Amino acid sequence: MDEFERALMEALHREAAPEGFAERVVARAGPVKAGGRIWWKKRAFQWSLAAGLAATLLAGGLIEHRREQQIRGERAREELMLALRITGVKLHAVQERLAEMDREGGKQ
Amino acid sequence: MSTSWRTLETIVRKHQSMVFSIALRITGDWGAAEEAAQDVFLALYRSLDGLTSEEHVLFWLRKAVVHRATDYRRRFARMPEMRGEAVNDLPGNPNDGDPLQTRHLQQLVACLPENLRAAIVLRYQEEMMPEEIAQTLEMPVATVKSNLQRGLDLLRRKAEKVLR
Repeated sequence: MDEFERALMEALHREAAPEGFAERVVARAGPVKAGGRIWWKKRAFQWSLAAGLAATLLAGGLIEHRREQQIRGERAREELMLALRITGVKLHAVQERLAEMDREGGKQ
Repeated sequence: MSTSWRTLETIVRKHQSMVFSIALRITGDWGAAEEAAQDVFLALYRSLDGLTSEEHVLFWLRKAVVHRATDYRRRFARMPEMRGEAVNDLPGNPNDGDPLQTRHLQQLVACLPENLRAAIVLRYQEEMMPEEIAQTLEMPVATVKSNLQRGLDLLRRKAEKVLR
C-alpha cells in the first residue's frame, strides 16, 4: 500500500451515524411490526372463515347423505313388504285352487 | 435469530456507522445516505429470521447497503432538486491529517463511475479483500481487481490535478 492509498483510506474513514439514527430506525420498525401483526390477524381470520365454511358444507353433505340412505332404505322395505303381500295373495289363490281340485276329485 | 426490537436495536447500534458510511460514500448525500441506511436496517429486520450468524448479518448489510445506496444515487441523478447536503458540505474529521486533501479525495471518490466507486469504498473504507468484495458485489474477483485498479488510477490522475 503506497502513500496515496493510505491517504485514501484515511479519507474514507467511517463516519458516525447521525444523532438519534438508531432510535429513528427502531421507531420506523414499529409500524412494520404492527403492520405484520395486522396482516397476520387478517390472514388468520380469512383462514378460520374458510375452515368454518368448509366444515359447514361437509356437515351438510353428511346429513343429506344420511337422509338419502334412510329414504332409500324405507323404499326398499316398502317394496319388500309389497312383494311379500303379492306372494301371499298368490299362494292363497294357489291353495284355494288346490282345495277346489281336491273337492272336485272327492265328488267323482 | 429471533425477530425482536432489542435484537434490531443491538444490530443497528453495532453497524450503523459502517452502513451509514458506505451509503454516504456511494450516494454522496447526507440525507440520502441516512434514508438508504434506515431502509437497509428495516429490510434486515424483515429478513432477520433467515440470518444465521454475526458474519451473515455483516455480509448481508454490506451487500444490501451497496445496492440500496446505488438505487438512491441513480434516483437522485434523475432528480437533482432532491439533493441535500453533499459530502463536501459535511464537517471534516478532526483526526484527518490534511482536511483539504481528505475532502478532495472524498469528492473524487463520490464522482467515480458506479462500479468503480463501490469497489473502492469497500476496499479502502471497509478494508475488504478483493475476494470478499467479489462476493458482496456478486462479480468475478478479476473484475473487482480490475475495477479497483481502474478506480485507483483514475483517482490518482484526478488527485494530481486537483491537489497539485
